[in-house]
Amino acid sequence: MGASFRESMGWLHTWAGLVIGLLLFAVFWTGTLCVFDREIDRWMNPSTRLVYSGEPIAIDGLREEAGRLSPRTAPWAIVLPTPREPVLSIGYRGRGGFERTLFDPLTFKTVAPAESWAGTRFFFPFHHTLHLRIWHLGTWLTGLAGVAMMALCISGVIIHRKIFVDFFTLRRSRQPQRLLLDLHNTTGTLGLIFYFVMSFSGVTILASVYYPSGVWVAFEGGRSGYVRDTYDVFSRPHLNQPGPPLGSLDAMAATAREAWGGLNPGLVRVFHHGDRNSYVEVRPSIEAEVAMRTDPFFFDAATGAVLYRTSIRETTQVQQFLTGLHFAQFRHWTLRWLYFALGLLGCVLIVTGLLFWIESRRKAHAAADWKGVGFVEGLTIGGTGGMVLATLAFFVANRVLPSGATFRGVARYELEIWVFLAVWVLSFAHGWMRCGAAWIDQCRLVAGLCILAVALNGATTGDHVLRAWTDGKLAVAGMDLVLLAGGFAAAVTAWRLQRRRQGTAPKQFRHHHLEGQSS
Amino acid sequence: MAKPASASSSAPVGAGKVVVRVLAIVLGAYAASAGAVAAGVAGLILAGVNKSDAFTVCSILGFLLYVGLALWAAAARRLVPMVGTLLLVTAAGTGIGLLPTLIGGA
Amino acid sequence: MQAVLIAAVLAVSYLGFAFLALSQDRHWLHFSGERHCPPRIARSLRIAGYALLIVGLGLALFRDGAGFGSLVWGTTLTVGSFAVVCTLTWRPYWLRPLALVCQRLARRAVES
Repeated sequence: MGASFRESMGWLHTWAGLVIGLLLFAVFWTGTLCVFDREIDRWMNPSTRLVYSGEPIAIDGLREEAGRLSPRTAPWAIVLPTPREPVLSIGYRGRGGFERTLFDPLTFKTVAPAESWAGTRFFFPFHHTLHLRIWHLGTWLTGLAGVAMMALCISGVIIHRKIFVDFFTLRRSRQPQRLLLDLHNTTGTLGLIFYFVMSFSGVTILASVYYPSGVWVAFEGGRSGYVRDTYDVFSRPHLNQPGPPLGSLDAMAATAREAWGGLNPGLVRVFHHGDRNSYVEVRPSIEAEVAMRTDPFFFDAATGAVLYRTSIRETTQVQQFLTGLHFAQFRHWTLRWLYFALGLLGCVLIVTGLLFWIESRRKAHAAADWKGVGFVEGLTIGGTGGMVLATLAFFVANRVLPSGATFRGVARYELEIWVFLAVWVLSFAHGWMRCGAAWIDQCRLVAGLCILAVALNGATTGDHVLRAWTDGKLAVAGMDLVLLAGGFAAAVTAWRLQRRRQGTAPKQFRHHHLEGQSS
Repeated sequence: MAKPASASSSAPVGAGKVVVRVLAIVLGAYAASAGAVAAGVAGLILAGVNKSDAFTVCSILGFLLYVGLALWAAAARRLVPMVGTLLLVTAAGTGIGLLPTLIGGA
Repeated sequence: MQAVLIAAVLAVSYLGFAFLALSQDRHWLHFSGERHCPPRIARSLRIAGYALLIVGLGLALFRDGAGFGSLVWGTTLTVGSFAVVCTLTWRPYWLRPLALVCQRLARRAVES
């Protein structure tokens, strides 16, 4: 699609970037948030803001409670607390989807249920399904975005004229076009490995969804066959005969812990509770190493005898390494913050790419009286700034809505999501109406919402930054501080954009529409 | 890493050809890579490799193949041979992928 | 110890990229006023830069083991290089002492 190879790559990079750019931003932004998904959970569900004690927990005391909670036939699981998820939960698949009851791991008293979908149930599924579940549409779209990102990385390197000479170059140019291109180039080159590895590992997680062809060739029964064979899952049927009572879960957990070399169990799941064929699965916690290791033990429920130990093949371990490095559920705070920073850098990369497309065509389109640039600018504002605004509105709505609030039968968590979607849609309209000025408006709104969210958190829960910090609720304090930093960055950006727009900027910056930071 | 606006002002191309090329990049390259994954899995299984190993290796490489084919589909000078090759790879891959079932069924 | 090591990984990565940047004519000109970085200096700067990046890998692996260590190293490379870019763009005089030392060494090398 061009005279030379480099020109065809330029064509691909330009148009694939434009068409996929907003989808990529949505995936990158939610992915960046998901680095701190559990911390967002703590912030949005105040009842779960417990302090992790680190004591080993005896779960035998919960056996009766768990059996009573869940429907007779469904398997139920005890999820053990971790520093990032300090509540203990009992979960089972009930009539209305997956149900969870939360407990304080020290007292075994129930904790008020989580009322928001927050990070793990809203942003995380958004990241990989866009919450479009019809025909797995969202999964395929995000997969396409992942592959497109890999293609964009490669074509970007090919069309970069002087990748080594320009490696450290970011010119403070008068022209927005020049500065945007420099920013796009440096954020792209310097973070290239991260973007490529993240998009690649992202698509490989769902390889069995994206390549059904290979699955059907290899496994009987398609994807369920794949899971059964590859993850070496043990099962035995329900016999419909009452069996002896459940044995000691703690003893089973101890057996597993010893075999894993001291690794703590993360999940204990009971199948066919009360049946003669009942059995228990014990899985290790996933926070100890990069690979998201599934190394479960299966025990007979009554006697606690080991029925089966799963063995995972080496190729699958490679895939689990890729999965783990993408999920970032391990306990490594330095790496977590580095991921967050590089995720934001990726957001800047995408925004500057889109803005460069707009700025380099603005004059030509104005001369030819085309509407293309205005349309794309509105889309970009709604898809990037609007996404950030919607996220913050989601946080604010969470702190404004009283506990148990419903509206015309819509539950509280759904109301928050409606606020998110409404703000997102409105910001597109705002972008088309106000064009370039919309950036300034939205930066101001972002700054305002950040501060409002922090203030509301302090007012409604009493956990203002200082108190949360001294109480050891670092997730809450950290999120407040990030919000404040983001609000500050947005306020500075709004102020500078405003100055530039009025033409009072220092000489070297006399130009409008400069995106300083995407925060 | 985009390049200056000159990219958009290259020689005018018919809309039909652009549509065909975009379809080739998105769907054609995917279909060919899916075919190749099927063929690869079938080949490895027939060669005695474990099913899970065969699938994991082939599907992970499949994504890289998809990206490579998509870039090639964007760069190929002539449209018809490019589309033809993608279709051929898809058909051949599907055929080889069906082999284990055919052999197993016979 | 852990904190010191991660700071060292970051510092080594920053310094390594600063050397690599200085070895380029564009940035050498910026600090020394000379149009070209003398080839001998450029080569030693480059060797020192890459060596520091490798030292960073060693420190990261020592701190975190193979799995986490390689990830830490890969991500700090981006952070370090981006920090160098920001320094060169907004606070270039921070790197002037480094350039002066290199220049002095260069002169001594020429004299000897």
